[in-house]
Amino acid sequence: MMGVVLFAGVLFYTEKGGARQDDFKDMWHASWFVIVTLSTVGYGDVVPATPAGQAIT
Amino acid sequence: MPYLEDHNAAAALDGLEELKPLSSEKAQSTPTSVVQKPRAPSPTLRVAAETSKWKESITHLGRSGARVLGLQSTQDKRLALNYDRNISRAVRRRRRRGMRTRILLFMDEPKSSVAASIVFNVVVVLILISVGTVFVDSMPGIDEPTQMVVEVLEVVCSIVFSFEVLLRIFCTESLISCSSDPFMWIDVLSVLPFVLKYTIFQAVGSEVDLDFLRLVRLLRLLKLARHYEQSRVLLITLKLSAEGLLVRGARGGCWLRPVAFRRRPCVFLMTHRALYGRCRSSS
Repeated sequence: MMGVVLFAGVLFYTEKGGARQDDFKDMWHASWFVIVTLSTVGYGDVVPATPAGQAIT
Repeated sequence: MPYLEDHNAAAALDGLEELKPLSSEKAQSTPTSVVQKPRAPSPTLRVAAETSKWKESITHLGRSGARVLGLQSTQDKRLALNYDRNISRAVRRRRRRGMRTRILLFMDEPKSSVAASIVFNVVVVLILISVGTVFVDSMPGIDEPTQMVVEVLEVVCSIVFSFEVLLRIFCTESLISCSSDPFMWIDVLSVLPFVLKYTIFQAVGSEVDLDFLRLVRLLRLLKLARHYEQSRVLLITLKLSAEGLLVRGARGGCWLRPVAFRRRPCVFLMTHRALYGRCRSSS
């Protein structure tokens, strides 16, 4: 849970000025993305666009 | 109670000379508490008791008082101190652990007392609240009152946490050990933006990137890790398994040290040899 929240925070602030800003509207969306990624489900509805965000992922 | 004890001591001193020879008869004729005195006080204590006739009472001498009166042997001191149970108990307790240790115990061991457990639970709730404020803060469309509530909660949490950091710095054994503790770093880091915001930035009046500072607030979640043993176990496990993964031995010792100088017993090889014996020509 800690990991999810921490990574969500980092992604949220890296994606703030990115191309797909709407994907990471708020922390909830960011944590949704992190949970989906960590559980290896990977829906792909929320995608990080900035290089920094991709690197973190 | 102290005065009665004092009376006892004085009476014991008075009665000592007469009582000694014919103790059995006298004891029956005067069944006072004098007879129950098990041990004759030593000369120094006698002096103390005699002076206490004019002065207040022997019970009120503390350790410094004992020094003034010249109670040198520990037995004398103990006798003198035990006249007042409360004083001696307090002295003993204070000797056992200092105030700093007590504060540390209060903060680190929720099971040490009821108050500690209450404070611990409150702190955990505050941590969760302050993480929740980050979530609420990040939502794009919030109305004004919610914003205000979030701000107030944030300030309250920050004040509590900075107070905790101050206490920890005050209570630490040495600043070096404190600065090498990762949890201490987390504590300081998670409080720093708040302190900066309301001291320096307020004075200068500059608007530095608050987004990054908000991110730091999430670090408060790691404060929880300090209190739960599972996380510590996890850390140790990570350390040990890192040693296995990066064969060179991540635990202790420098990365740059040449391999030849590192003669550490390899656990895997040892178990392997124990099981299958030494096999050199396997490969």
